[in-house]
Amino acid sequence: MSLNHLKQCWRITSGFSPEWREWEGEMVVYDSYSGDTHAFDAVTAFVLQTLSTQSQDTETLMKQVAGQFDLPPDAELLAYLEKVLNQLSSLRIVIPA
Amino acid sequence: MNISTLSKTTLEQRLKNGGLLFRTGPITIRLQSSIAAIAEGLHLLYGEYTLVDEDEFIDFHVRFEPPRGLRRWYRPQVEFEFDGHRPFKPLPYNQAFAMFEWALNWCVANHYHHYLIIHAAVIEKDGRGLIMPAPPGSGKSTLCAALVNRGWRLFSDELALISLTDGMLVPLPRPVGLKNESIDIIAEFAPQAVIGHKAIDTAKGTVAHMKAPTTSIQRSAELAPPAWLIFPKYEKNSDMSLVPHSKAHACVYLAENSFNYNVLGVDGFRAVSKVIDQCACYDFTYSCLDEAVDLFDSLEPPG
Repeated sequence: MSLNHLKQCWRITSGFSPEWREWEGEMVVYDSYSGDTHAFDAVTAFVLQTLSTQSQDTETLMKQVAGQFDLPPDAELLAYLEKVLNQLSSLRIVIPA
Repeated sequence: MNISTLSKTTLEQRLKNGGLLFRTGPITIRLQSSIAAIAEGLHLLYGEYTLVDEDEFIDFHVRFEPPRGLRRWYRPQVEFEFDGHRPFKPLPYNQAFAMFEWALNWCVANHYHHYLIIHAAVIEKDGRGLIMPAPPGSGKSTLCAALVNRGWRLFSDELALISLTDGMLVPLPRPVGLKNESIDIIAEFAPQAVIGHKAIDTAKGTVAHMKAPTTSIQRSAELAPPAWLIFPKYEKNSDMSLVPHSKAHACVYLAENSFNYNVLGVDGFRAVSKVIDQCACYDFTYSCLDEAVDLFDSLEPPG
């Protein structure tokens, strides 16, 4: 993992105007921009909520996720976080800042 | 005044001329047709629906007639006309009544946007609604037919109508569509059930419609809040099971199986969310209708 990759900053896509609900630790997001509805796990939901308040780089996001869910900030968590960010990016919910 | 107060001859004359005006749930319909099978189907299955006066607003003006042309002599068909348009290709003449039922579902699903409409059966007991969304072949309509013959009130076997203002379920009690083996299964399970003409070789196989229970039709103005959302699945020889279903997944499933969620935008999401808030969500697998009815009768309302 390159330093550049860890320092990649992410933000919510302009115009993304979510309405969300949470049940039993899972989140459902309605994107009024696209009209799509998505179900996300707790980590994805946390990332989305964090980026909704402020743009963050991958490394900082990983530390926040690790703290929130009491997980070690290791390569496994980073791989999962990248998967989450790729998913959100493919849905055009987040983009590189 | 109900349709049953009309003699069969008067019913046929109204259908052939200005149309039969009647109400089912919140919906008013003007139906015109010279096809005997439609008159017979209405006579058998729609007797308890209320006639509507000429001066009342009519939601849907529908007409079913054989198309013009030579084909009518050697391969008779029936064609559906909606507000002067013909949205579908004609079907074989013997499927006329089934086409009427499908077309009416299409009218509601595609035009009645002051409700959120989901592809699901809905029943009610003791003031609590139970929604059963499921793909075709899951046994949804068979289970629904069994339950409404054992004390549950029929709201609909196909279309869940959900109020956008208060999240209440709105009854639309119409005949229950049964397919293939389900027709004989329900005839045996509920010998008192009135089942109409079998239409064979339809796109869904053999199809027949079961009359909605009288009390369900009479109480069609009584709304109910949703309490359970159950995804049924018939599996031959399976042990019955009822296991919790993720609420988040249930929310997305309802959104994806709604006819007008995208039309309604964020109001659709809020309506679906309200249903999920109020419901206990389960996956239900069954192979025996009697056992299924017993289990449904013992469901505890969500806390």
